[in-house]
Amino acid sequence: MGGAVLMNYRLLRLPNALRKQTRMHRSPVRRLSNVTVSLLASLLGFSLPVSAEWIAWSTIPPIPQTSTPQSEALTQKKQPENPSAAAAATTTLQHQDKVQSQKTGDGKNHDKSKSINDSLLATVSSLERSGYVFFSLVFLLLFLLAILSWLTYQASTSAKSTGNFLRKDLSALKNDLLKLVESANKQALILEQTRHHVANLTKGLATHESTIYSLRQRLRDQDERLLGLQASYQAKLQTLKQAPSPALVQVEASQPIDKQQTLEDVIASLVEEYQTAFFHGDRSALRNMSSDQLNITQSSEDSLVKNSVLPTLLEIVQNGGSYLLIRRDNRHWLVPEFQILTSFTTTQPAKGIFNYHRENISTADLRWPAEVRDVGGLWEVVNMGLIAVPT
Amino acid sequence: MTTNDSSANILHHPWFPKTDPPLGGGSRSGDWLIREQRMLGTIAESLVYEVASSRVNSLPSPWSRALQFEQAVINERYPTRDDLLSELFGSLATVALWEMVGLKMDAERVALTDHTISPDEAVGPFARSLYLSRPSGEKTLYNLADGSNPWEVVYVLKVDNLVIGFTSPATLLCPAVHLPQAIPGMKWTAGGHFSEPTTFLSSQQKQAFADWLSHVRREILIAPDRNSQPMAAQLAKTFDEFIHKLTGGKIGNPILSDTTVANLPPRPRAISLLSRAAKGGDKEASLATLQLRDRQKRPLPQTPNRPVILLDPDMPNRLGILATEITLYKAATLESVGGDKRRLETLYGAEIEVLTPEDIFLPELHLLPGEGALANSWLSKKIEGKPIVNGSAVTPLLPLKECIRNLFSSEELSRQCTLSLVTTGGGMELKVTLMLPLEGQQSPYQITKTYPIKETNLIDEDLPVIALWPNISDLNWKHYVVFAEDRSVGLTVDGFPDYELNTGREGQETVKYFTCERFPDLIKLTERSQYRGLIPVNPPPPNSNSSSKWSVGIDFGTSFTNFFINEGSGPAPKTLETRVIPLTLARREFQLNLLYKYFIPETLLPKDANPPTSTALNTYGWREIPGTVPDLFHQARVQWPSSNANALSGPSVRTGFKWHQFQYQRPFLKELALLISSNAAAAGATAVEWAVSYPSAFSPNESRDYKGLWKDLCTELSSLTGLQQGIMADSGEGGLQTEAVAFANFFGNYRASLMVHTACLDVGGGTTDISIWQDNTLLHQVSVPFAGRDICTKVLQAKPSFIRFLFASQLTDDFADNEAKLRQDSNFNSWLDNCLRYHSQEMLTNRMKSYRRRQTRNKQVFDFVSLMAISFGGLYHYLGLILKALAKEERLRKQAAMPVYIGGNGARFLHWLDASGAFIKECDGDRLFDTLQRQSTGFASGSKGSAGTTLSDAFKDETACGLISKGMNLQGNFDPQDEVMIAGEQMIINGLVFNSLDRVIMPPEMDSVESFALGSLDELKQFVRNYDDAIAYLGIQTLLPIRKLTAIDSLWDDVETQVRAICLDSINKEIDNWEREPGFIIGLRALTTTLAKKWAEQY
Repeated sequence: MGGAVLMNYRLLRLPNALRKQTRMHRSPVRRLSNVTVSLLASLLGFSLPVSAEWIAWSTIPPIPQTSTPQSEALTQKKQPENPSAAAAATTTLQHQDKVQSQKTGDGKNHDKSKSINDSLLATVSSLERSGYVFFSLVFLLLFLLAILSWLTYQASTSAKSTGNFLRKDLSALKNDLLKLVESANKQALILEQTRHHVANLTKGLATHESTIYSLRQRLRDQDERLLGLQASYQAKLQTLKQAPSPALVQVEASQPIDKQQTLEDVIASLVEEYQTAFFHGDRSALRNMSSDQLNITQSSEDSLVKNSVLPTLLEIVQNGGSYLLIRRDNRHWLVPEFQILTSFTTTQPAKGIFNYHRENISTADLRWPAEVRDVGGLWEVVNMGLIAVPT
Repeated sequence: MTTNDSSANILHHPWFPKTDPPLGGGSRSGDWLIREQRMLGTIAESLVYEVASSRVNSLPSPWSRALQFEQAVINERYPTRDDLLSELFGSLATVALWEMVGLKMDAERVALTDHTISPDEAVGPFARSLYLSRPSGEKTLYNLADGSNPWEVVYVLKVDNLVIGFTSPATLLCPAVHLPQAIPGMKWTAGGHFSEPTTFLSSQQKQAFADWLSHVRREILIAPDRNSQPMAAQLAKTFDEFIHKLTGGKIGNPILSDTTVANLPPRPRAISLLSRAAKGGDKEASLATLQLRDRQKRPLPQTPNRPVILLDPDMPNRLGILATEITLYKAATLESVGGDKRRLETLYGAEIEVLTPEDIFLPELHLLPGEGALANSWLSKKIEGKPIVNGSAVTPLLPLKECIRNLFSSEELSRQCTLSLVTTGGGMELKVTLMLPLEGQQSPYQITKTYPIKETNLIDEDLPVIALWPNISDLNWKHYVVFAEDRSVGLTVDGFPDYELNTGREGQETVKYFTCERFPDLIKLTERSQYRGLIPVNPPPPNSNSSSKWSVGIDFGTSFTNFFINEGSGPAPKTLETRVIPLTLARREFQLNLLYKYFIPETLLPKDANPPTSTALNTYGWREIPGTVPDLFHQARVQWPSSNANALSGPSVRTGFKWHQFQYQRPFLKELALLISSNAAAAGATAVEWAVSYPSAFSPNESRDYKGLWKDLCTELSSLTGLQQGIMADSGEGGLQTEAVAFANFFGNYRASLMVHTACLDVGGGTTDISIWQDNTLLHQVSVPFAGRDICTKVLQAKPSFIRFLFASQLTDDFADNEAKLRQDSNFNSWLDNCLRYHSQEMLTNRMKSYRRRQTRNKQVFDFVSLMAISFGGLYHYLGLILKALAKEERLRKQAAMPVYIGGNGARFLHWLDASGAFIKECDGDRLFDTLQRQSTGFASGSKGSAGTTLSDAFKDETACGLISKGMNLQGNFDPQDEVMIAGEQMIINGLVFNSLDRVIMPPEMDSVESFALGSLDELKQFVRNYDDAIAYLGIQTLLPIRKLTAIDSLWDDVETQVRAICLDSINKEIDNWEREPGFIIGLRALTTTLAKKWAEQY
């Protein structure tokens, strides 16, 4: 939820002009009540919007008729009609975010960051609210002190004769007031310290925010990798059925479309590069794409002849390699050398590297590279690629 | 103006001293004018000779040159003597040595009297002038027979059509005043005239010339027609001076040429002496004869049988010897032939072969992409440095011309050749040096050529697949194959004249096969038909000489073929080395694909389990002609087990040819035998003897053909391999042994098991060979066409989903979508046999145990295993019937069930029957089969004695091993043709009825099977009852009785239909082609097929 809160923070940020107005129309009383609600909500674990901006929003009175056209336009564009609408919008966004975060598999991390964020913001709100209360009290005390001074003066000049008991009472009241002022000064000192503490916490919050952002990035990467794996398995599955293009497999998958396209784009780019080089017979382009040449290891050949179910292993060779290793998107892919791809037109060896899909084409074509991983200097096929071959 | 033009001018436009008009008067000395040729006549006509009263001193005599030489000889103080004698010396050298230098000399007689009357306005007057001014004949060397003045007849001498002078009655020879061009090989003629020759002559030539001069000198002095003694003596003295200059006075016996110059007459003697040139005395040893070693010991068809002379103009520098001293061949020196190959060939072309550096080195160096692009070649290792083109390493080809193969082996070249990279301002260059061994030279002669590394010479295409078989020295082998991919672009192999070429083409793939009799150690590469260089192949490893004779047992099976080898230390399985070597580092997958598809792979897989190998052949690249036997390799070759799981199901793969399509047997067995032979040769063996088995189920014709095939193979193998090849003499009937006997030999001989009262069952893929032994003697043998494929494979084929269930999905992915196609796949059995071979053990020890536990029992598996048990049980029932029949014939001494030795590839399915995954003594299956056999025999002895089953632990090895095992010497008549099968069930053939215990003896007059049926299924029904009873009696819970698999009552209609279908297949077959099958086995096949069908339908 921390992510959701931050998102709200961004989404509901007010224009500067509006912020000024907001400050002008702030009502300490309403603020107090809203802060209280927020705190309560926070303590009870409700997912209410608790950002400072939301609080600010909720205190904005109806926009005066004198507002400028620009600010009006901005208001119409950026703001909901009223706090409840804003809350609804926020809730909707939160919901979307929650769905997304669930889908992307980072729920736990989001929960953790939410809890940190919530408590921080609750503290901020609480401190902010305490500040307003303090100033109100000081103002009230000073007002009372002034009244008392005035009453004392009146008593001394026009009613000296009214009795000693009244003077005694006033003196006692004055002492009380002085004590109260002293107490208020102490509170002010504490408040100052608290403010300093809040400033530190705000800095900490910013740090946490960047950490959370980084965490989100990592989660997104992991998410894409998972999507890639799923897409590959989907591709294999589909190949065995009707072997649609990997693109179709991607679309059918239940993953968010934008993330699917990320992996697909990487592979599409790789395949396109390969096909262009193949079409032009550009060996140097192919060499530039790849880092190493690979061949199936002798022991893997031996396993294959026994129809072993073990993944195929390949080794780097200096010359005569049949497959080329290409690194893309922090993953390693395997494509056939041109001659090998051409030979697939007539012979489709089942060696645990590529599946074959029959299409109405004249020569074999790469559809999807095989994926490999480094296993102690050897390369193990983790996902078989796909080659289109003539029907 | 060229030299030729000058000479033409001189001939046609004589130069004369300048005269005042008209012709008289003198002129300044040395002032000459060009005139027309006819002026000779004009001048001659205008001359007035008043011999008696006056002398004409102002004009030179036309004989003056001859007279000057005379003066030089006789007058030691003559002013130009030295120059003149040098010219005479040089001209005599030419006349003496023309033959040794390889030239030709002619002579033309000029008689002045013949020309004085010539109407030609130039010739006539000039001749008359010469005639009239002829010198006196008094001081001549010789007289003419007719007494005329010797000066009247002279002979103009020409060498290679170049006039060199004429004969002189005074000095023997008058050299031409001017030589328009140098005479080839005679550098002393290079200055436009003759000069001192000594410095240009080799020692041999000097001696020959000196000897010749000595000979002429002597002959002049004693010539019968000698005229002036002083002149002769003076000339002899001059010759002595020449001889002294040549050899310091040393003379030997002159050796003169056998040929004479035409037109030089025998008389006068002095003139005749010029007709025979010097031939040279003792020949100087050639310094330029190449020393051929390997190719001389074992020449190739193109290896020259004449001396090969290296002719390199740079020899003097490299050897530090004068060209005159470098004898090329016989009298020819480098000097004398002028470094000209053509001249040396003209001289000795019939005797020698001439080689120049240009004949050895290619003009350009061609490059292959990548470092170390060649395999099994020493070339890459020889290169000092790393040639690079455009930042990428390249591999050069050996830039030697193809003729080098005729002279040197690759092994010699590997020692003689060095390649070093040199970096120059212009880029990289490769310096190729060849050290050529020369006869009589301690140090080899070095020739070098430097090639720039040029991008334009990079053949930047995929390396072609090139492989060679076998990698054995040709001292031990006679037949080699170079396999190469053929393509329109890039490199390919071309053959030499002694190669034979065959090709194969399949779709876009074209391959070539070159066969030759000598180890192809130098491979000729071409690109677009242009020769590009050689691949020098590493010499084959030396033979191990570990054995002199190999005995090989070959078990040609339906699914697998196996062999055992006895190298002298007893029978043992042996993993074959294919002896194939690739010669390029082509893309490995591509290479593997081509080698598996069209040739032989480099390594046989799996490494630890081959043999046995699949009985499979492929015919890629061959358009099959029905019934035609395809040739090995270009038309058919063994389909070896491959890491490509789809390989065995390829469209041109042929399996099952043990029983059908017999034309494939020959190439399959030939390749296998060649590979085994190549291993034998590599081990140093000189002889291979084959012990071959065959099933007694072969029809008489099949048996005969199979024996004939092996006989022919042995003959062919002998010629191809150079090894003695033959069928093992004591291997059995007709040189071949039945599988049943060979199998029994394994237990009896190799395992030393008792064969006193024993039955052997060899359950193969297609047949089960049964033999009954009593007191080490064969009592009965029969081969029945019911084995592993009937027991398991065909059942599985009916239910592909069950295969997927049994095996890992990865194995069965290929037929996931097309079960109908799978059922029709002719190669399915081979494919599944391979699957079972490698995965049965894992399946039995893991998944099958789970499927068969009571708690987690899988009904489909349970039923399937029970079906297998019924099949095995049927075989045991038939075994019991055989014993019963033998007892009835009173041939069986002990009427008791027999212990059984069982093995073969199909017998491994016995392990499936037990829930533990292992068939052991006293397991449920063992007890069941024991009981079934006893019940079937019906012997009164009942349960006496042991009739347990011993399952072999050497599946598929038994027959091959048994074929070459010696031991207790099992006896009996092993010819299956003399053994007649026992019906087992009533059979009616052409109306003849054979009861279950009868032998099916066909009358000799019966030619064909016209009608065939089983009279009843009584024995089969009895078997079913026995089976179910035995299950119940023994309390077996792990196998189902038949009645639990199907309703017995409704079973028999289907079985009878199956039986009828099987019998119909046998009708209208000639007796000799009829594969005999006992009636009971026919019924058993029908029963198991029906049960399998029901099982497949049920699930």
